[in-house]
Amino acid sequence: MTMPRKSKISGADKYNLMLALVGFLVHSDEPTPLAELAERFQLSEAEVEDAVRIISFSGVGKYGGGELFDIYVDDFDGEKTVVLTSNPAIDDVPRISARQVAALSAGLNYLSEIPGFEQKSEIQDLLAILAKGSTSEPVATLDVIPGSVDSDVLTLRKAISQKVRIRCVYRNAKDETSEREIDPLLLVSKDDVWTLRGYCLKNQEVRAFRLDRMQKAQITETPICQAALEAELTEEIYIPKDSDFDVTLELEPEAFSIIGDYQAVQLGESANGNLQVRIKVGNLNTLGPLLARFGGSARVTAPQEARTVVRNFALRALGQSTPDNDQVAE
Amino acid sequence: MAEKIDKSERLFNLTCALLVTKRGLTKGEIFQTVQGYKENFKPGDQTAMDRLFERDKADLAESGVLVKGATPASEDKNNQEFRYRIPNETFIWPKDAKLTARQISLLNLASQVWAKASLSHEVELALTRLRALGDIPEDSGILGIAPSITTQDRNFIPLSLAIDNPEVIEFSYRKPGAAKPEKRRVQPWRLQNVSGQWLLVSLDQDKNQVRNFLLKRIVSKITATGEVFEPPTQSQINDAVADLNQLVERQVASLRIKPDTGAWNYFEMDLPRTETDNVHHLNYMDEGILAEKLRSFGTDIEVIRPASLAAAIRSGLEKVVNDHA
Repeated sequence: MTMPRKSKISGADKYNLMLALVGFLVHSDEPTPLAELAERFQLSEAEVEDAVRIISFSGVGKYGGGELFDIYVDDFDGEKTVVLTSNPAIDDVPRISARQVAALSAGLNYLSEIPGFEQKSEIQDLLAILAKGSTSEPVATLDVIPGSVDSDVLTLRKAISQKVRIRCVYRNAKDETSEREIDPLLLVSKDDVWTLRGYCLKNQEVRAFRLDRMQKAQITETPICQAALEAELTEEIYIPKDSDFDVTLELEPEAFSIIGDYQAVQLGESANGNLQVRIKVGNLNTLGPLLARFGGSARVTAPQEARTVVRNFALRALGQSTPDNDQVAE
Repeated sequence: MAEKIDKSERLFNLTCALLVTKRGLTKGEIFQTVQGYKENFKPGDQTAMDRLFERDKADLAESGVLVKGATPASEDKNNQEFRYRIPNETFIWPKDAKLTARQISLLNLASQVWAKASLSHEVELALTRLRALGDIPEDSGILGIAPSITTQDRNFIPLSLAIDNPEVIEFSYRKPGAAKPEKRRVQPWRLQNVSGQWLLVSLDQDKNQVRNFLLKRIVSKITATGEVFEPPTQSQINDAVADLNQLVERQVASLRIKPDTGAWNYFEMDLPRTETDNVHHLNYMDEGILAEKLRSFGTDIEVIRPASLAAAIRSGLEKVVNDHA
């Protein structure tokens, strides 16, 4: 006997897939191609096949007359299909929980606030379907109300769908502005911050551009270039470099969001609940606005150079002159 | 050691048994007869099985399958007779519900909103089932956007569970500028994200009033008290949200913004506008949160009103200067 194949998905995930699979196959009179099921559930054929195999061992026990599922993969000349002929328990696709409905509904509401996403009736229809499919009366226990969304979103969405270049004025982290040509690829939002991932003609590589630093975005008629078409977008926008500075911080609970935002490494915890962490930054000057923002609930403990940058930023923001106006070299 | 049975197989057989039973099954019946349990069951040693069953129930709940438990009236107070079942009417999707390929695309995108959040696994599980109801979309989603909401706060999942249970909770809350946190005891009602900030809408039990708490100012881990409360009605929630919206409408800040600066870009001062003198007006929910945002602009902005906002910005900056002396 061969050992069962290790599947990438967890036991609970596989169980969930098994429910969905039976719920779907109940409605198919014809054998369903395995490849189609894999595409539908966005899994590999092997994963679907494994789920089918486990269902085929299963049944309702003695309380339902001991009946078993009759389901199998039919392999005819390499054309694999799945056939369900006997199903003693599961009459349809299972409902989803009120909690899952709440999360999906909040996600849909958030989408409907994005400029260019004006198909509100479409969203309303979908919300109604989800509410009907909830295991218990759904109460809106979760909601997301975005703040004002940058006016450039609409322009950029158009440019992305038409695959054309944009032109804009961009202010970089060093507060310098310049005219840029960008081949836009993907608009990413994280909470209220919108970022454009696009191929920058000036730097000849994919960069991330914050929309709140972008002005006068205009669509051109130039199609995006081959390099942009072939570019691969990584998951994380910020990739730490060797030249980055290590900075250690003391955080009160009000500033714990820094941990996720900067992929901080935790160094220690004080009795009062404060955390000591280390982050990496490419440019020490970005620490000024960051620490000023937290207004005392986050402190730089080292290096001294970084502490001076932060102090000087806060002094200037208070309208006071700083002892040394030379900023740290880039 | 008996033959190892795949967890998914045990969960699936448990679900099927609980679906077909008319009167419900006791734990004893489950342990002795359901595939995945019966192979490992040793009479007299219930503890390990109990633990396994509790974990499995949690997995079913996360997946969205509702297990109902009840003690039949005739066998009152006999814990051994507590019975479990999954009623078919709350299990299967209502008849004829179908989803179009476009709707599946929208749901894919809506679930992506939570991809970086602690809810992502539950949402992904729901999506797998929804995919069984619809046509297969041609592309992976609506092209060109990747929206996301983060739920990094350590209390997010515990709070969302307390809302669902629903269970009274306690925590320490520190108002801006306050030296010491205060203990709060509340009925958690709803988690709401306003302009990127998570807020707990709740009933404060000591004050018997609806109160909103910013998650970032909850400085302790929340503790569940075990006290269950009657969940709010949708209209109570709507009232609480309407009050919050009115608060935002009432609170207006006026800022003078220096041309050609980061703040000028941020507030989109280039767009055609009615205000003159480089003045920008904006509504806000919380003065402390607005002060945070404005402090990072340094001298690019000047607060015209309210004075309390200007003072909050100033005292925060002074604290930063002293902390980094």
